[in-house]
Amino acid sequence: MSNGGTILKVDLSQSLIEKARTPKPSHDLLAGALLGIKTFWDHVPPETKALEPENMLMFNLGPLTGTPFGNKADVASKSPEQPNSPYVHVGLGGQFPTELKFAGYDHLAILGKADHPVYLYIYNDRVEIKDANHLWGLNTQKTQAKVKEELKDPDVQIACIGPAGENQYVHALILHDIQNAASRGGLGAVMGSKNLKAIAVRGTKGVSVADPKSFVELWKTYYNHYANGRGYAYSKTHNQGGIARHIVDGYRYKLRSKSDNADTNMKTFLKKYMIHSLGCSFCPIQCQENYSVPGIGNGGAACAVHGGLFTGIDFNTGVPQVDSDFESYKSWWKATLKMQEYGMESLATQMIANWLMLLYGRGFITSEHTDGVPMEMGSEEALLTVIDKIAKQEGFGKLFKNGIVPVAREWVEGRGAMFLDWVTRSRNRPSFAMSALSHKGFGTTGKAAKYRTGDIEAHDFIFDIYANVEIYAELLGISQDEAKNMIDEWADKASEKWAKRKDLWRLDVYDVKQDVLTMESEDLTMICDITGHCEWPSERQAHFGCIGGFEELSEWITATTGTNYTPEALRKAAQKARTMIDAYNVLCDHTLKEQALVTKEDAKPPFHIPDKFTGDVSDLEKLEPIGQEYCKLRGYDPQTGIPTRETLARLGLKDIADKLDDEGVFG
Amino acid sequence: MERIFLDQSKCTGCRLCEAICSLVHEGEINPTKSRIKIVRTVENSILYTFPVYCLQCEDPRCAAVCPVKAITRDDNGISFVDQNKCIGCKLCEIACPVGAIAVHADPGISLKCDFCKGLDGPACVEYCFTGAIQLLPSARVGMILARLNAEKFLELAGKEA
Repeated sequence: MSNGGTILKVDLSQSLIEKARTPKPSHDLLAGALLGIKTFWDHVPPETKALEPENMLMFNLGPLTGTPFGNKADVASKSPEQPNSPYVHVGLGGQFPTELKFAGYDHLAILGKADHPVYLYIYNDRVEIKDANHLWGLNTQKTQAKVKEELKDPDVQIACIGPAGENQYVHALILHDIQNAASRGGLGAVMGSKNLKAIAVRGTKGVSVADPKSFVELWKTYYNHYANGRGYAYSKTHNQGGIARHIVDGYRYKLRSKSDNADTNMKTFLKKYMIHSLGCSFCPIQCQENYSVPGIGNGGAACAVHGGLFTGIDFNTGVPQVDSDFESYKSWWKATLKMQEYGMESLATQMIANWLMLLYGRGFITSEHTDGVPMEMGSEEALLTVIDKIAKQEGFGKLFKNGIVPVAREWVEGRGAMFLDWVTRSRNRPSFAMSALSHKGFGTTGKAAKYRTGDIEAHDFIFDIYANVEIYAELLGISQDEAKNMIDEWADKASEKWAKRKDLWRLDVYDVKQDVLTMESEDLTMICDITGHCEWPSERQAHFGCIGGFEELSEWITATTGTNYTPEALRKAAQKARTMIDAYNVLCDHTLKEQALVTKEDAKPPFHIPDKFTGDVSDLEKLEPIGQEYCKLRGYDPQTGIPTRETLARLGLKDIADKLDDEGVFG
Repeated sequence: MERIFLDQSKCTGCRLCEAICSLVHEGEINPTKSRIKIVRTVENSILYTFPVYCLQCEDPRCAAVCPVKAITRDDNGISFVDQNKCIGCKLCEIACPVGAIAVHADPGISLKCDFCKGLDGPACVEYCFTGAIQLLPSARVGMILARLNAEKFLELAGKEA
């Protein structure tokens, strides 16, 4: 029940299509992200490189995917972003995951490499590998339009790559519909390396529900919470073009800009050009936006400035110039659309542009380094040139095929650390820790943890709760004091529930107990990745009044599958998946020693660029003990960041402990 | 008498109505078995959505063509299919001028909006987050439409948005 029932495996090298039964729902919840990492442990040797045919690309759905409680796929592969190809798993929403479930599948695993460009067409039980020579080179929007036309089905859902993925740029993404994407991890390059241009899916089978009556009752509670209950402020913030506003208002303008123009400019952009909301199947909140800017073009924008989908309204590059120039918003939109069409991740790409601009501004490079285009901060030409050259792999763009780190090593010899605080060591990309945005003490754990453990996309959400005060007050028509009290109450409640202490979210300085918040937040994200529920309207956002934690999820899955799940079973599944990923990445050589691109000397100004939100430079010595505390909490060795034998055994992963032992990991 | 009223501009194309409709009627989540359908299409990177559902015709063609008289209209103006009589011939599907009826091989009968008979009202209305589909007294619909249209002119006349 509620499972599609089938695991679909496609080997492009041999044009082989295989189907296997999905494991029956059982208490260990072997689904979604958990089945994903297990498959890698079983079938993909850790030494496999991301862009080799032996690497696998998986779309993992959970038991809730395809129901109103879930619409996400966990997209997993070895990532080309780093030389050691660590395992990454990122979320993809929109209509694609639901359609794949409706076609009868829980997992799609793609292996091998086709000898010419192909696309995959799935119509219920029918699976075909079709020629895509005529699609190669097309941008993401044209590709989808063409495939729909060719298949004579406007309702087919497509995930595809653009030229950036074809050219195997390590920050290329997989795009679906207007702006949904599996954006982080460079999985577009993995698709490109397999000569796989697109996956088109159509399903008419639907999803059965074991107990429809309970399901509807549970949905009523969840729905009402967001429609007119405590989650209303949250959903409203997201639903009305608010996402960009709340991100922008909260983090960027208020923290950095002293001018009110910034706020006004963003609102003007939304008011003038937003057509309506966009989002994923069945989600009432619809947290993304569809814009049409005359003379430039149409497209979508999503919230993830931090993860780097598309919005990236980022004064990293000075585009837009938020404080003064409304016209520069149009430049930002040009850049955004280009990145959407090329299928490349915006944040990592803008990070490269920003880095070039900083080097140029400080005289490290001249325009000769960048094909004659001066990398002036805030220059539209500079930003668009970087995007074009990288996506097409022309000129200096070729240097950045593998990201920022290799160029840093080559250009700024011995002082490779002309670095942004966000580029966490050799990770070659901005970290996904929301905590990096935090200007308070409590973000520190997430940051320290990311320096220390293997799951490079581990996703906490411990950030400044007060960023939303103004927008909540405005949208709800209440005073700012009232909004602040409301948020305080939620944060205290969540803090009490997660860590048995009320004030953790409000502390200005790091406290060791905040590690518990980080871990809980990560585990909640992971259980969403396993079940197919979206992490945004989930208890991970409890500090904003959201529900949907282990307790609710266990009820939803029980009603959906007919198998009884306890909250403890879900928590264990989440921790198990996380530990398996960390352990796998140990064998991918994603260990602490790998992360020493920046020496302690380098990590000081002027060679290290301060965190753009806080103005701080990460103090590695300060982060060290914090990372160690976090490791203790997870049951990892504080010195190495590697899961201990005991922890692995406790989670039923003795076989993995043995494998680590065989590799000499435990010394 | 009440009617389902559509404010298309509010439809986000989330398709929750399709999921809920098939769930309350068929016990599964399957848009192909939903009585309400969301036409969702992307043109030039803009999403267009349009809900298609039974408008409860005053003179229902579906009932007129039904060879076994399975479709009848009740006192509230709701036409519904008698599942015991329906033979799944699909004539209603052809006759419906808006495309609101489909016959699905399983359960093999005409799937037509019945205003969620037996529930507290249409589930699609209850769960529409943005109010794109609402239940309104029939007599008020004309005035609401007039207001919606007038808003545009009022805005042009300089009314604060």
